[in-house]
Amino acid sequence: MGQTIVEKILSRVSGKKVNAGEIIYARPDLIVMYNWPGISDKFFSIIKEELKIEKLVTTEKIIMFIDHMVSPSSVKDAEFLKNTRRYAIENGIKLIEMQGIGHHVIIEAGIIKPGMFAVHFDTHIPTVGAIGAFGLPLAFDELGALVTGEVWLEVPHTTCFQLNGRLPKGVMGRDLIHKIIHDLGAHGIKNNIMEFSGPGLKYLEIDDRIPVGSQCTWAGALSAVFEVDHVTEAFLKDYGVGDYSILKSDSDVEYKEVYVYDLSKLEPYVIAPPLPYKAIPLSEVEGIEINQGYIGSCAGGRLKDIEIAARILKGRKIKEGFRLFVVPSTKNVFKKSIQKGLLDVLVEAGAYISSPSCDFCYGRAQCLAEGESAVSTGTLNVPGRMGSTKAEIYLASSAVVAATALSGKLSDPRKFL
Amino acid sequence: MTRKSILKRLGRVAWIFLDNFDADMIVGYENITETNADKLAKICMSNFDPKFSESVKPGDMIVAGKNFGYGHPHTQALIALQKIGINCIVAETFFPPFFRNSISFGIMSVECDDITKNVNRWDKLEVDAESAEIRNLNTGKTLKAKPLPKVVLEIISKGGLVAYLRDKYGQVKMI
Repeated sequence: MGQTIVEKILSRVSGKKVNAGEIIYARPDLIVMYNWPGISDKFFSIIKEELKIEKLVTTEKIIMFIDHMVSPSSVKDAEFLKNTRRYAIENGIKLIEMQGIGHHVIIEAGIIKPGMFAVHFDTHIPTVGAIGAFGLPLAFDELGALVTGEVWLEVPHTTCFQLNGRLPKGVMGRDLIHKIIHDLGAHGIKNNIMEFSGPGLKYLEIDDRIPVGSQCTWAGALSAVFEVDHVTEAFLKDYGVGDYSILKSDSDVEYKEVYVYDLSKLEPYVIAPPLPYKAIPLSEVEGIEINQGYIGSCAGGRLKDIEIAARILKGRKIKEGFRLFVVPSTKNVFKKSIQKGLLDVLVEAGAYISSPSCDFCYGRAQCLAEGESAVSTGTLNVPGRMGSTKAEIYLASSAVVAATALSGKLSDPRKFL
Repeated sequence: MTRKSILKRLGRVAWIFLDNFDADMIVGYENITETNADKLAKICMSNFDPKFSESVKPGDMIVAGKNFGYGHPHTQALIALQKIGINCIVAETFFPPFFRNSISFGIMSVECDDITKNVNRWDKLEVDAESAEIRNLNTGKTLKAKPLPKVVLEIISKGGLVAYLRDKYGQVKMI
C-alpha cells in the first residue's frame, strides 16, 4: 500500500514502514519549546528534582525559544527569563531569543526542513507543515519526549486538499483555512492530517501556507502538511536553506477524504467571536465597529502580510482612535519590511510597529478593555484572549485587518486593492 | 490498588458536555492562569451549575461529545476536575492535545462513539480501560470503547506521566 507524506516521515523516525492506524513510537528530529510559566519551568524542575536526570538524552534535539514575554514588564518576568536562560546554559540546550516567533524562526534558519518531524507543547507547531515538515502538538506530554526521545502516536489518516486556481486579489491563505473551517466545522478533519497539493499550489506562497498550518488545529486536524514544490524550494533558497529530501504521497494512497478547493472562488472569511470555529463570510459582518487591529503571530506577521497592509494603507490614514499593531513575526521579516520601505508607509498611516514577539497575540503587549473589539491575525479568539473576557475578537487576514483600520469598521480589503 | 482495579472505574456521570467543548470553560476563561488547585476546585463548573463541586463525589466521571477539549490545552480544567475527584472522562472523541494532557495527568480518558446518546446525568458507569468496555449500570447496556494503546494504559496505571517516567527513567544518570 502506498504512503502519504506523513507516513513516510513517520516511517523514517520509527525505523519501519508504517501506515495509518498503527500505534508506534517515533523519535522526533526536533523537540521545540518556548518559555512559558507552568510548562517550560515545570518540565525543568520535574526533570531535575523529581526524575533526578542529570543530562537529557535528547539535549542535542532541543530548541528553546524566548519568544513570549520578550520585553519583560515585571521583576517576576525578568526572573523567569533569567532562570530560563540559566537552565539552557547549564544544560547545554540551544536557546534562541530576539529572533522572532519560534515556529517561523526554525523554518527561516533551516532548523526544520521539509521531511523532518518536530514536536512542541504548543498547539500551533503544525505551522512547519507550510514547508512540508510534520509538526505534532504534544501539550504536557512533551515532557515524555524530552525524557525518552520518543513519542507514542497512532499513525494518523490523511485528508487530501486538492487546490486549483489562484487566490483573487485581497484574498489570502488565512481565508482558505477559515473557509475550510466554515465548510467542515471544528471536528471536520477528525484528527487526520490535512495534506495540500494540486495545481493551485504553485500560486500559494509560503506566507499563505503558514497561517493554514498554524490554524489547522481549529478544523480538527492533528496537523497539516503542504507538498514541497518550486514555491517551497525558492522560499528556502532565499533563506539559504538547502540539503533536504522532498517527499510526496504515493499515487495509490488511500485518503480518508479528498476535497477540492478552487482558490479563485474564495472570498474573505473571518472567525467571529467567541470560538475559533465560528467561521463566516466577511460580508455577513461587514460594518461592525472595531477598536483595535493586530497583524502578527505565528498565523500572520509574514512579509506578505506587511506588504498587503502597506498597499492598503499607502497614502491613507488609520481612523482616529483606532489602534493598529503591526508585529513582523521574525527579525528577518522585520528587516525586509524596513528595506522595502513598508514600515515607513505603515508608520505614516498611523500604525504602531513592534519588534517580533508572541506577546501581542494573547493580551500581554496589547489589551482590550470591556466592551471593546479587535480584528486580529492572532491564533485564537476565545473571551479573554486579548484582555477583558467581555471584549470580542474577530480573526481575519492581514488584508481585512488593514482595511478595517481605515474606517474602524470590519471592511472588505478588495475595495482598496 | 492493583493495575486491574486502577484501570476499571466505577462512578456517576457528573456532567455531559456537547461537541467541541473548550475545557477552559470548566474554570472560566478569566481563570486560565490560576494555579491554586483549591481555588480552581471551588470555581469548577460554577458557570454551569453553582453547586457542581459539592454535588460531585470522588470517583465520579464526565461524559462528552466529539472533540472534547477543543482549544488551547491549558491544564487548569484538569487540575480542577481532579481536585474534586473526577478521574475519568468518556468522550466520543478528544481534541488530541487535550487527550495527551489528560493522560499525562493520569485521568482515564476513553473514546466511545455513542456515549452521549446512551447516558443521562448521574447514571452510574463502569469503565474498563483494559477490556475497552463501558457498562451503564442504570440501563444495563454495554458499549464498546476504542482500545487504548498499551503505553497509555501503563501511564494511567502508574497514575500519570511523571510517575510513569520516574518509574521507567528516573534517578538514572544518562549521558
